[in-house]
Amino acid sequence: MTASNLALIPALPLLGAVINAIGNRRFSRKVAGTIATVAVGLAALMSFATLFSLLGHHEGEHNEIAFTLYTWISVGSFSADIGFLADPLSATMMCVITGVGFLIHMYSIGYMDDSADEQSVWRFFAYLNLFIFSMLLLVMGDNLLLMFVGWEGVGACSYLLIGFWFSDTANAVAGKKAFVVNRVGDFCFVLAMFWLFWALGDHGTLSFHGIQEALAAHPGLVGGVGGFAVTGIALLFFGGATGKSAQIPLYVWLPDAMAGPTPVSALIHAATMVTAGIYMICRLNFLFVMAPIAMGTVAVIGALTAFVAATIALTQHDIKKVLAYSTVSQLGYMMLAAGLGAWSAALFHVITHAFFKALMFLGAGSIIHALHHEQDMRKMGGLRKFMPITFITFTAAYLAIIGFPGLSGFFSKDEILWLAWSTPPEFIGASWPLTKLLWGIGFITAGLTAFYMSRLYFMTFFGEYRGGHDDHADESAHSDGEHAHHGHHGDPHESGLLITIPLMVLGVASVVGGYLNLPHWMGAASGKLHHFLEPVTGASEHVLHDIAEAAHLHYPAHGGLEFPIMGITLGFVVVAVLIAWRFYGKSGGSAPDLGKLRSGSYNKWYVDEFYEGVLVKPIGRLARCVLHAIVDVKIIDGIVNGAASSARGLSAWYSRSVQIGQVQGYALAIAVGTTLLVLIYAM
Amino acid sequence: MLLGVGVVTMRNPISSALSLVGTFFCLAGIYAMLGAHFVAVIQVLVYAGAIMVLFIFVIMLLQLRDEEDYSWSEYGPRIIGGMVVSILLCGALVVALSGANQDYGPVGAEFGTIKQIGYLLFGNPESGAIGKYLLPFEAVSALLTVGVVGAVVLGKRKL
Amino acid sequence: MEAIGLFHVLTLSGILFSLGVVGVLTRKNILIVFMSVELMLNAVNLSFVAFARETGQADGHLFSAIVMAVAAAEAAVGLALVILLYRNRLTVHLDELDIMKG
Repeated sequence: MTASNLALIPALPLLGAVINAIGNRRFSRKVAGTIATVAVGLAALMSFATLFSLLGHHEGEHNEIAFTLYTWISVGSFSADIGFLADPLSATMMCVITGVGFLIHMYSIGYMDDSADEQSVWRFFAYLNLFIFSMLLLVMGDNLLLMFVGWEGVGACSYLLIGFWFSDTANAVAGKKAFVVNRVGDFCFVLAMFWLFWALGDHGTLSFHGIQEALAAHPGLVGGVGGFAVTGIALLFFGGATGKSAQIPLYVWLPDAMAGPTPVSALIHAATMVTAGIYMICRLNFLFVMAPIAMGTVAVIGALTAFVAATIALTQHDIKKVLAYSTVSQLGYMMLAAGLGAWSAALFHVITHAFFKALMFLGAGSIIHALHHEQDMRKMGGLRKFMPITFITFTAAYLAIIGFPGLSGFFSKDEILWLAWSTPPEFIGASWPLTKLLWGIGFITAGLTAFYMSRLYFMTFFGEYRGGHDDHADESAHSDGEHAHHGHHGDPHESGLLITIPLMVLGVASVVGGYLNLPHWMGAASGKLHHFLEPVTGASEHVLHDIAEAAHLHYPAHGGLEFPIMGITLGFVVVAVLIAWRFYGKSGGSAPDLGKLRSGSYNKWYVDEFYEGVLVKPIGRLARCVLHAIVDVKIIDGIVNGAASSARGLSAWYSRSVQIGQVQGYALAIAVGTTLLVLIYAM
Repeated sequence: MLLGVGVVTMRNPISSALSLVGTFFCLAGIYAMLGAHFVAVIQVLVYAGAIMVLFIFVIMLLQLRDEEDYSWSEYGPRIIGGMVVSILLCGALVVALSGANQDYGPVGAEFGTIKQIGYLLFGNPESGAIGKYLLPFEAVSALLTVGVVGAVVLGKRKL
Repeated sequence: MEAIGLFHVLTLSGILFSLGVVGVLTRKNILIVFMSVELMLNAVNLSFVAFARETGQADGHLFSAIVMAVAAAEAAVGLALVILLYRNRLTVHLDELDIMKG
C-alpha cells in the first residue's frame, strides 16, 4: 500500500458518483447499483490493504502512511493541504466505512426495487457514493480544514438522502431539519477551529500533527491544562460533535431522519456519519486531555443522552424509530467513553455498534420490504416463521446489543461500564465520585436497552402475525391457477440474496467482532485494538496515567469489582428480558399503562415542541418581519432599483440637452476639445 | 488676414466668396515668397480657379440672398462662444510655437521647383533614390475620380 | 524690414485657422461654413510650406499639393450634397436642419 495510492481510496467512490450522475436515467437499478457497489468495494479492498500494512508495522512511535495531494491554501504563514493520513485510527475507520458501506450498497440494489423509483434510483446510488467519499475525506484528512470539508459533505449527503423521496413533503422537511440542526453544530466546529488557530498564534496550523506538536511544546498558548481557552475550544468542538453524533441538545434530527430509505438509515445514521463526532474527539484527544472540564461535559452529556433516548425508545411503535433512539442511546455510551479518556473503548464500541446496528437496520429493512413498507410493530409478529434468515441474523444483533456474553456488544459495552466505574473522577475535573454516578446511569440504561430491544424482538418475530394480508389473496375473480399463486402472497416471505447476504456477513461480524479488543483478563489475546491505537492515543494516556498517580490511584484499574459489576449487569439484563417476554412474548401483549410517563415518553418528552416554540417560531418571525420586509425589500431592492432609474434619468437628460441635432453644436464641441488639447500641450 | 476676416463676416455670400478668392491670391503670394513656386502656382490654378468657381456656381444656382440680421439675443452666445474658443486656440498655438525660429536661413536654388517635386514623386535617376510619394499620388488620383463620380451621381435628379 | 521667420508665418497660419473656426461655429449659411472650412485648410497648407522652407525639404510642398487635391474632391462632393439638401429641404440654414436630434 503505497502513499500515493491513498488518494485512490476516496477517489473511487467519487468516480462512481460521477459516472452514475453522467449516466443518470439511462442506468437501471442494477447497473447503477453495481457501479456504486464496485466502487466502494474496491475502496474497501484498498482500505483493508492499508490496515494490514499498518498492522505489519513494528512497535514504534509513529505508525502511519501519509500522502499530500496538493497544497490547497497557502496564505502568508498559513497553509492547508489536501493531505491524507492513514494512521491506526483513520485506517480502522476507513475499513469500517468502506466495509459496511460495501455491504449496504449491495443490499440497496435488492432493496430499492420499487417501480416508482426507477427513474431516480441512479440518484440514490450517486448520493450513496458521494457520501462514502465525504466520509472518507473526513477520516482521512490530515488537517482540520479537510476534515471539515468531509464533515459538511456528509451533512449535505445526509440531507439529500433523507429527502430522497421528496415528493412526500414530510420527507423533505425531515431532511431540512437534519441539515439545519447539523448546521448549528457545524457553527460550533468552525468557531472552535478559528479560536484554536488564533490561540496558537505564530505556531498557527490546522494539521493534526502540527497542532499536537504546538500544544505539547507551548501549552501556555491555550491557557495550559484546564485553561479557559483550551476548555472553550474543546467544548465548542464537542458542540460540533453533538450535532453530528446526535447528543443532547442536537439529537432531534435523528429520529426524523428515519423518513429516508432504510439503507440510508443503516449506513449514515447507524454506522458512519453519526460516528464522526466520536472520531473527531478521538482524533483531538491531545486537546481534550488538556481540558478536564470539557471531558467531563462530554461524559455527562453522553450518559444523559444514553438514558433519555432509551426512555423514549420504550414506547415507540415504529420499528425504525426504536432503532433510531437506540442509536442515539448507544452513541451516548460512546461519548461517555470518550469523555472518560477511554478512546480505544469508544472506538471499539463504534465498530461493534456499526456491525450490529447496521445489521438491525438492514434486518428491519428486510422486514419492511417484505411487508410492503409497513413499519408499525403492532402489525408485525411471528415473522420468524416467514423470514428465517432475517430472524437468525437479527437475533445475533439483538444478543450483541443487550450484551449477551461472548458477543461483540458484550465486550464493548462492558468495557465502557467498567471504565466508567473505575476511572478517577479527577480525569473529568471532579473531586467527588462523578464517575460512579455515570456508571449508575449507564447501568440503568443497559437494562432499559435490554427491555426495549427485547420488546422489539418479541413483537416482531414471535407470536401471531398481526399484519394485513395482500388483497390479492381475497379476490375471487381470478382463475384457480392464479388464485393459488396469489394465495402465497398473503404472507410475507424471505427477501432475496442481495438482501440476505449482507445480513449474514454482518451477523458473523456481530458475533466475532469482540475479538478485536478482548478485556485484559483474557490474557495474551486481549486489547488488540488498544495496542493498535497506541501511536495515536499513547501520549494522552500517559497524561491520564500521571493524573491518576498524583491522586494515588491506579489507572487502568484491574481486578477489584470488575467481575461483580459484570455479573450484576448481566443479571439486570436477564431480568429485563424476562419482563419484556412476560409483556410482549405472547401475541398482542402490552405493558401496563403508566399514564403520564408513557405518553411523555411516546411524545419524545416534547423536546421538539419546545424547540419549535422557543427557537423556530421567533427566528422565523424575525426573518420574515425584519430581515425580509425591511432589509431585503426596502434597503437592498431600493438601492438596486434606484441605481437603475437614475441611470435612466441621466441618459434621458443627456439625449435631451446635448444631442440636439445641430451640426454647429457638434462642431463647437470638437473645437473646444481641440483647444483643450493644444492648451495642455502648450503648458 | 483682413480678407480672411472678410470671409467670415460678410453677409452676402458672394462677398464672402470673393473675400476667399482674395485670400487665396494673397496666400499664393506668400508661397512665392517662401520659395514654394510650384505650390503657389497650383494654389492659384486649383483653389482660386476651380474650387471657387464651383462655389460661385452653387451660390448662383441656389440664388442665395443676403442673410437676415443676426439678432443678438439669438446668436450672441454663439458668436461669443465661437470667438472665445478660437482666440484661445490661436493663443495656445502661438504659445506652443513660440520656440520656432525667428529667422529663415538661405536655401538652395533648386528648392521648390517642379524638378524637385518630380524627383520626390518619381525618383531621382542620378542619385538612385526612389519616389517616396508615388503611392499617395496614385491614391489621390483615385480619390479624385471617386469624387467626380460621386458628385455627378449625387447631382442627378433621376438616377 | 524685419526678417520673416518661421514664427511669423506660423502665427499667420494660426490666425487664419482661428478665423475659420469662428466662421464654422457662427454662420447660419452652409455655404459660408464650407468656405470657412476651405479657409482652415489653406491655413494648414501655409504651415506645411513654412515648415518645408525651414527644413529645406520639398516634401512639404508635395503634401500641400495633395491637400489641395483632396480639398477639391471634398468641395465637389460637398457641394453636390448641398444641392441635394436644398432640393429636399428648400433651405440652407443650418439651424433648420436638425432632424438628427435626440
